Amino acid sequence: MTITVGLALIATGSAALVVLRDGRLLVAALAVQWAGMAYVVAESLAGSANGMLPAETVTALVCLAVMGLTLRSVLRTRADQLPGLTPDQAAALRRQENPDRERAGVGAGRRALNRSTSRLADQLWLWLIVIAGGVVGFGLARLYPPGGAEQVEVAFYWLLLSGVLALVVDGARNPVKLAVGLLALLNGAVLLAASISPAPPGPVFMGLMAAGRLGLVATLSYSWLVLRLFFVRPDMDTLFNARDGLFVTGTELATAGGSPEQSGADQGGATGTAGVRDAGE
Amino acid sequence: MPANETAFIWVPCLPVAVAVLASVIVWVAHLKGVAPRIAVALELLVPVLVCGGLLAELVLVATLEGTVTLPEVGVTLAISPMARLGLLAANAALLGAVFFDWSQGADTPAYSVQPLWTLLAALLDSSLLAGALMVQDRAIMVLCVFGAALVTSAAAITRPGVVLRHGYDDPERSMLARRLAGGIKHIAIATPGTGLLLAGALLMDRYALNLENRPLLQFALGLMALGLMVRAGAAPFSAASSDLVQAAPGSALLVLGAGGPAVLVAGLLMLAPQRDILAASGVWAWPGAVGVLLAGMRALAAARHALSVPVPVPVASVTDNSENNGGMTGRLEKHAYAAGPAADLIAATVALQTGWALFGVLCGSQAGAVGAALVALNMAFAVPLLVTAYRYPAPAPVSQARGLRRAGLIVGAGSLLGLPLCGGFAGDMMIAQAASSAGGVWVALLLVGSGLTGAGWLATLWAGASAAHGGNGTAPVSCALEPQELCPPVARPRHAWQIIVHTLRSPARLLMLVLIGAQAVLFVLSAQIADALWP
Repeated sequence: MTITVGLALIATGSAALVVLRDGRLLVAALAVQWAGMAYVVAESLAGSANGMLPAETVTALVCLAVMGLTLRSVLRTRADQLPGLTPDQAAALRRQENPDRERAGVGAGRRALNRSTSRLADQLWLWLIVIAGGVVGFGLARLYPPGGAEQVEVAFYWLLLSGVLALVVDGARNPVKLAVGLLALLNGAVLLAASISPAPPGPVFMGLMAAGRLGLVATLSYSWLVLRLFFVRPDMDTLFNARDGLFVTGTELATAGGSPEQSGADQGGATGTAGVRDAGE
Repeated sequence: MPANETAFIWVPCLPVAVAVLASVIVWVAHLKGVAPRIAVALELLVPVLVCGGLLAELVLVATLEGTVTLPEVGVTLAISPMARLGLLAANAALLGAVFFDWSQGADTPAYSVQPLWTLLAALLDSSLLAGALMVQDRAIMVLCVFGAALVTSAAAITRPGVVLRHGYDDPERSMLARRLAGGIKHIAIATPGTGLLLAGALLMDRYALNLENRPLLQFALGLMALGLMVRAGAAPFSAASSDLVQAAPGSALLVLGAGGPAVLVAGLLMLAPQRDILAASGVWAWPGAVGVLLAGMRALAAARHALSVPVPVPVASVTDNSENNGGMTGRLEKHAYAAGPAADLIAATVALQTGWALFGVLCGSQAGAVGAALVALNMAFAVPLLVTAYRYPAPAPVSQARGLRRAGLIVGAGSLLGLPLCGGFAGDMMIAQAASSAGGVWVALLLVGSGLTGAGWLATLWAGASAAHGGNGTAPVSCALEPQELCPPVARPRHAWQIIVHTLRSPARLLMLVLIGAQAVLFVLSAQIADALWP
């Protein structure tokens, strides 16, 4: 089997989907993977999927634009613009979100060293998973070919495995990774449909597939905004903590009104942020 | 275009048209120049319109018969008795969701989904589920069902109508988190399930070109069985249910009452040509049996939770001070209002019934298929009853909520457990018959799951009763196990006229009464419905 441009793009995008964590880079990785998929479709399925390429291009552009714009909006929303915060709370969060201040804190050097060591081990582990996933995808295409050109079979398994690995590795923590992982799974389904269907996918199938992916992107992107607006940090840890009645209160928030336990007792078991309320009032 | 063809197209399109009309009415009602009285009248018109649209769709489906092919888009639509039953089930649950949200009115909690979103989601769900049950192409069927899941999740994720203040409204923010988590989990589970079903459907279509390739067919059947397990929400893929039942009951009704049964009926339609192969292999029913067993264990765990913490009290304890809390240095504080064993128990009971139905779908026998269809129909009535009885808040100090809520909980749970005199009895009996034909192990697994869930309910009701006797005797059964901030105690009604007045003032109470009555009707009519499906 020859490694074509399409396969190389899919491999690069898939590896990046698993390894990266930054939201903007994840969207870029998805764009690369999607471009590879379009390339493979154009190269291998030109005859059987005539109307597929324009539809896929439009879907990809709209999905990536929605994700990119929402991420930009989430990242640009300042703490003092969030609803439901008192001025003191907003100021405390703003200080906390300022990286300069974090760097200047006591023990920041030790924390940075620990973080870089753990990140290196983490990255190595992720790269091992990526290599294993690539080999497994190649093997699966040989052992269980779903049908169609060999290049398409490998591309399908790589798309599928990248989605599954992204979901398993970080999908329960990182909402952007959850979205791109789910999209990669649906993209794999489109490729499978294009390659093994007895007839080329009809307009209804392609329309529903496009609408489904757009709906998925719109819903999950909207959820990032809601997370940022109501839970300050757009990550799943914060959401699931809040779901279990666990609220993260910043150090400044917790101690602004005296000892947290004291303020908690005064409020009949309220959080440390109640201390801020006391101080503010 | 022939009249029959037009009517077929109108079935999935009618709810969308009503949704557009309802949106326009809401927009007009919120215009600046509109008089308040007219605005109120217009807002009252919306739920009526939605109910009318759902009922009109059912009438249309009842009058149509046969098959229509649309060559322009390469799609064939057909209305079979099974599709009719599936649509009846879905729309009944959707009507329940509409009534529930409508009945909340001014008492809608701050963290809730805005009622308009539930109404619009109900209409879009109805349209997509109608498409799924009528279309003959398996892949399109799967995508329509996926669309319905997306719509429901989108409704559950919508932002609340009010600002929730940090440090002040934490109980509400916790419930909002639960609602968002439920919506996101539902999407995260529905998408891989859709992928599995799509892959299975596409491979099955490919098998038609290569009939001697039996391993391909077995692989496709396995993918479809697993996909159905994931998409129908059988345990352990029912993680979203508990969150939605507790924090977004309207969305829970869309997912568990309409979506789940529709997926099961769609599964019956998709696998109908392969029923003999399923029966001959006899192994693909395991997702159903495993789902039932896991649901039973989950129910027992929820009951144990309820027994160990009979009356939650607010606590504030530091549990984590590490840096691994979302990158935010600070404290994590735990509050008791996150507990919800009754919601877990309800979710496990629905998952149990889904497991039974899934077994019926996958065992390949005719009795199992008809039993699964009856169970799906019963779920559409029992789930709204159970969720409404559990979740509907008492609007006034004097009400009959205690008696009716308890009745709703007991009848709803009994129905989902397949007890005699309830709507789920006949379906469960037919599935048990199919299981006994397939082998004694299957029956044992199904009965153990049901037994565990029944034990869970008995323990929970006992805990609620003992809490009521030990306290002031005013807390309803479900409230004895729930956070007190979100479920205030209510007083017992004193006079019959008070019961009647409060029942009539609230559509949710009427809904509960109707749904309790529907259980008796379903029990009586089960034989006739089975005859219609299996003449």
